[in-house]
Amino acid sequence: MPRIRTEFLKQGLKLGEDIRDKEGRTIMAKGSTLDNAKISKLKENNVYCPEIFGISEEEIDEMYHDGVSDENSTTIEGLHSMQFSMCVGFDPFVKELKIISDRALYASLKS
Amino acid sequence: MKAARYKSPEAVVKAVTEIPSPYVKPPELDEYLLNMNTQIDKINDLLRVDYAVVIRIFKLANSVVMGGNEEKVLKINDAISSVGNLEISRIVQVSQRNPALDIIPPQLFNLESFWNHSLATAIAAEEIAKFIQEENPECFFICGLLHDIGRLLMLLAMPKQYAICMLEGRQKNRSLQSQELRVFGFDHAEVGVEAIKEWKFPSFAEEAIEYHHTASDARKHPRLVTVTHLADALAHALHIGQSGEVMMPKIYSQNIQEIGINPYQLHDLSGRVIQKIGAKLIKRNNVSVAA
Repeated sequence: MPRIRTEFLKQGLKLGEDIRDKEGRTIMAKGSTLDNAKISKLKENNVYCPEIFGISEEEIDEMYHDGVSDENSTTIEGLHSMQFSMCVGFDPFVKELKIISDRALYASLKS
Repeated sequence: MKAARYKSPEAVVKAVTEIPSPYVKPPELDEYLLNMNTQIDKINDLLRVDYAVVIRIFKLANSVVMGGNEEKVLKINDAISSVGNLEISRIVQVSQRNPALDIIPPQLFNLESFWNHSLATAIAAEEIAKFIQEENPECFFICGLLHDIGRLLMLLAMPKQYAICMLEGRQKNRSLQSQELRVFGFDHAEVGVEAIKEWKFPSFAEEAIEYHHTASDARKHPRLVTVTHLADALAHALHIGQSGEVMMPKIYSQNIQEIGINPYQLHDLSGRVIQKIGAKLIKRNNVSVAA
């Protein structure tokens, strides 16, 4: 199940895991529909990247890519192909690092 | 004038007497140092972000002058205690620039970006260590902070040759580490190991620095090496600063799996790093990411 950085969460998404405090008590249950109050609560509880239900990786990418120009997207793709040229493409760790890198670059364009 | 060229990691380390840093002393530090009741953790929080300050504190704490011949200081808090507030106050007057770096085009290297990459790797290493429930996450922080220090030393000792080395590497799409080996016959990891031996750092850091690009070669401290390796990769992926290397290092997945981390957990770890590093980054022209 995909994970999304808390600052990119949107209302209407559903939690894919129970969120617990340090003592193990559930503070938000799996399946909860997120609204602004719940998103704030996740941030307050230092939840960084929760699992989200009912959304694909492609849809998450769209959330990150939304509003970024084609020119900047092309630049990012160029950066990526060079950045990962030493890595084995089908390695699952490399795959996730590529996703993190891609999203970090898009996030930096928005901030 | 012919530029100096050093033939061994030891010679590079000996050629550099001052480690520059863009760190600016936080205004509250003097107040903390003057107040004997200040908790040492508060002082540690302000100091440990800077590689140059950490190097000076450990050098001094483990020096013969401080009676450090018997047992090396392993933790930053202990190093601060043994050095004392007066010395700490002197130590933090870090040299902010070094003319050797002025000849290097900022597109190839800038000190702020190096600083940010070092800190991001340190925080990532500490967060991974907590995640896999290591007993002393601060050891991991120190290794992350210093993992690329050999590169800064190579730049300072041989700025012209190193700039050419970087430029050629980028033109030929080679990793900077392989380019270092081609041009100099040794790489920044080897220089880093010599440096921390010279500076009398705890020996655990030697292996982490030496093998952070070749995690499977670790012998005594495989978890520490693998965490440093993964932390460096995460800092690269998050584009928080840059040490001069633009390529993601080769990933040692088998070793990463062996310390109990799966690929999907990288997202949570990267989120933790972003939260923790927050306002600590040093900005240059208001750009702190992907510098």
